[in-house]
Amino acid sequence: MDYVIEMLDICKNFGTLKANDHVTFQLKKGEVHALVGENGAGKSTLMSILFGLYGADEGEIRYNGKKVEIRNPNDANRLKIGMVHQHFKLVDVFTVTENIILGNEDTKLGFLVKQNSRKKIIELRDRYGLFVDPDALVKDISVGMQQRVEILKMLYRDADILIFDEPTAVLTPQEIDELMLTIRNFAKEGKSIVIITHKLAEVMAVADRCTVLRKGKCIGTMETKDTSLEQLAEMMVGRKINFSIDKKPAQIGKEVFRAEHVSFFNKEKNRLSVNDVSFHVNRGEIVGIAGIEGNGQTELVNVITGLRKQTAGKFFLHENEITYASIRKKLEKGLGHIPEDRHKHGLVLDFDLQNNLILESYYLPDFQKFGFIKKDAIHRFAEQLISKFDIRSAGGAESIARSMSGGNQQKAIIAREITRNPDLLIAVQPTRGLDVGAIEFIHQELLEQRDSGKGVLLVSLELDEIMDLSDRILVMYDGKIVARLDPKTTSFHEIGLYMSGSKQSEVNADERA
Amino acid sequence: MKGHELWNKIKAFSVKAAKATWSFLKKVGLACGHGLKKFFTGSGFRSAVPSFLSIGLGLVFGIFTMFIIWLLVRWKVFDVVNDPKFFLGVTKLLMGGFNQGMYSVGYMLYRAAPLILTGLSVGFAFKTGLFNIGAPGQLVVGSLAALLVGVKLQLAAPWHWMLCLLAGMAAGAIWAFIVGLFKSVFNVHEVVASIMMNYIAMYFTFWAIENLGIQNQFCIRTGPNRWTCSLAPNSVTVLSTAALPKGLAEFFGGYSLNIGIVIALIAVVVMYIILHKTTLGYQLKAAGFNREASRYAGMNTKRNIILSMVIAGMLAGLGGAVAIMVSDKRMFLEEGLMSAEFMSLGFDGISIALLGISEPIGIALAGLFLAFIRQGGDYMDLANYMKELADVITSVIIYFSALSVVLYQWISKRKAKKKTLLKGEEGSDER
Ligand SMILES: Nc1ncnc2c1ncn2[C@@H]1O[C@H](COP(=O)(O)OP(=O)(O)OP(=O)(O)O)[C@@H](O)[C@H]1O
Ligand SMILES: [Mg+2]
Repeated sequence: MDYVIEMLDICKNFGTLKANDHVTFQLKKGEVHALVGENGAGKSTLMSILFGLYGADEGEIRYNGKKVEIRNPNDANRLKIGMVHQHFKLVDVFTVTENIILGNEDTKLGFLVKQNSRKKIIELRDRYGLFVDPDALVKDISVGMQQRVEILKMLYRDADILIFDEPTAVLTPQEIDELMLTIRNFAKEGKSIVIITHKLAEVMAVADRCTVLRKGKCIGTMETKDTSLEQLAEMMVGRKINFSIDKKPAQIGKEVFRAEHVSFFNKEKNRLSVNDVSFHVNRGEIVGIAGIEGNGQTELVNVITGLRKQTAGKFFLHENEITYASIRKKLEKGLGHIPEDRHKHGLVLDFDLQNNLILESYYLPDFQKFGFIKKDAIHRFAEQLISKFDIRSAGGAESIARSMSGGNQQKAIIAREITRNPDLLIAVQPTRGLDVGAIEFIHQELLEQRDSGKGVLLVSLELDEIMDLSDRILVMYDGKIVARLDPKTTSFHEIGLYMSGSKQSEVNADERA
Repeated sequence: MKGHELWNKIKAFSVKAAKATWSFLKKVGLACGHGLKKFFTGSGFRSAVPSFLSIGLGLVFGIFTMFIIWLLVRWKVFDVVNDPKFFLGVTKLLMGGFNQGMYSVGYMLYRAAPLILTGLSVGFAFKTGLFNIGAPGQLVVGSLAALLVGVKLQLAAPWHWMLCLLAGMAAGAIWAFIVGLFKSVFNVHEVVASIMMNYIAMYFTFWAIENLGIQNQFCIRTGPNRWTCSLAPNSVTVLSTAALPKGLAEFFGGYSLNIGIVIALIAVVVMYIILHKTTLGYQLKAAGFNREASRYAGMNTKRNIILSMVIAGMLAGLGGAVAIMVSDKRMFLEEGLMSAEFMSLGFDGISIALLGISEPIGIALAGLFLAFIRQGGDYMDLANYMKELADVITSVIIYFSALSVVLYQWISKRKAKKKTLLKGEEGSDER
């Protein structure tokens, strides 16, 4: 057989949860193999077993037909297996080179010799077109570049079997295209690739074969050319998925939020990240902010929510000024926020799920009395959200957030924010890392918020999402709003031009403000 | 022929029997394994595993050291006056607080009280994401405040000592408040500020003892009705109304044990409730795990930093008050002695918090353990060992528990390895 890797009958339990239940996964040499499945289906777990992060409870792994034991990532490295994790594992304050050689350092008499490594990195970079500055600090480079660092890290260790865990969740569309090209190149060179993703279009575009997992079980492996997007989606979630969103016409009401001439000077980057931005959101509409990452969307949201202080400008919620209100005041007045970075802001990873679900409301009478926490009430509340939003985890309300799958962590945040029923919901990349079924569900929830007369500000790097959901689209480029568009009359192409800065219109002032 | 058949039968039977016992053993093994796994995965116990391990390793190390000393003396590498008695030494050490029955138990509990309180101080701060290395300073000013109130005021018994306790808590709180303020307003790291505050606390206390009229005097009779007095290098003691009552002392051999341990245990319960049952604990823990997320959720992180520090300071200050509110206790006007007697209690708090995984109940146990081992150390002279061996052992334990994460990983890896080994055997059995 020409399988490089065979994982036969793999079982892995976390307590009573069967994360992998007799899964068989076979990787051919030189192929791109997609691994798809719902959130919590066990994809990351399966690949972590292959990479030696977890030991399988049952089953065996064969490498070129020979049975092997992979006890830790070092064993995996020896077998030339490399992995890019769902959440990157880089050291912020180290340079790119230092991160790449970490754990695999060249030393001379106990001293680090970086020169050769640096040369090798530059060679690899040029050969695969993975542009990064080897001397930049990781904290100063964009997420897309960080991913290239992770890829270079695998290549530096001469990996032949490359595992990508949701590599595109954090990338811009351009970066995704580049990554897909790179991956095809790897395959052409004879490397074997596993890619975990929720974006089925990518699967169709790049993969030769794909394997579907559902609830820990292997549903099947097939050639991508023999299948279709719809069929894949159905196999994943076990029901038909509605890809087109049926959206009722918007019932636009009074203005709920207004930003006037907002600017933010970013001291770390020494530039004006948000430059005189004005806009408003009405009740009953979804306003989408499109833009390539790093054009000020993150900073704009941070100053609205109060995570950072604006340099200039004013905010109004229901005509009340909230410019200088504390974060708690803003939340109480009706702001909701699905944050961009779920690990940094959205969750206390070491708390269990139920405690994460009350992060903003623990002090309300529902959950406390005289300062004492009402454990039962919290538990009941958590159970409700878990069943309504289908949050899956090994231990239910008591699961530690850190142990939950990426998509389910995201669902927990969304459940919390939507349940607070805010008048203005700011949703930043709300469906990042979610499976198609969950995306459909979240989109419906966002639309329901809108239809019940709330305002939604949707910030997303994904144009599809913006186009499908928004009633109005704002495009940000270089800290400014460069276009205000109607999704019914605009096109992907036009938005793309604005996003890349090749087209600009004089719309910096809000129509109303 | 018959013999041959019989032989075959026996062979078949024995193979069967062997297989049956093997599968039975396997089942039993699995069941035991499962039970053990369940036991170990109980979250509280599980996180305490490294502590128990370090204690075990520390003790083994200590006993090993004692053995080596014993050997070296036997082989005449050292010349000593009194030969160490290995077995007696080990017994004395391990008997700890039980060496002299109730009397030594009482002394151990007396010793444990301030240790538990400073442990709580550091542990609580840890839980909220702060490293309170300022416990020594907070403790010393707590002692000073309690002493001042205990000397300068004339009050009836319960009110007097209660007021002293409050004074100690207040002083510790103020000391820690300054650190919290610096951190939340000027973003000065609490460790830096705390270390400075520790020095200030010590010299301020020296100054206060000398200048606020609480320095001890010793007087010599130089004639009829004539006394010549001069200043002693230490402080006075608290008035008897301000000394902690010794309610239980009778029972514990009529000495030393006061209600300090009761106060400490009350503090343990209170801290447990605050941490696990209140919204205050909830938000402080949230900030401890992820300050950014707590900010995102609308919690007032600046206020919370100050609040955590103040609570931690109160606990350390209370520890200081408990330590000084004893009828014969004095503070010495000398750096070395001050450090050894009072400041070190604060530093012990760090070790205890580590060993007790910052959980109030763990801290209570760790504090008692430290007192137990030190008590055992005191009895080791009887076996001609130095009592400092107890300190060696505790230091080793602390080192191990500081390395506990690594240790724990190492053990899990070992476990995993064993599992794969077992699996290999199983495989060969089937083939
Ligand atoms: N360390 C762990 N402890 C307990 N449960 C875990 C642990 N890691 C994963 N799980 C559970 O195992 C299941 C599978 O998780 P896994 O991360 O493999 O999902 P996934 O398919 O990668 O999902 P996603 O698309 O959301 O990333 C989840 O229900 C998760 O809660
Ligand atoms: Mg995953």
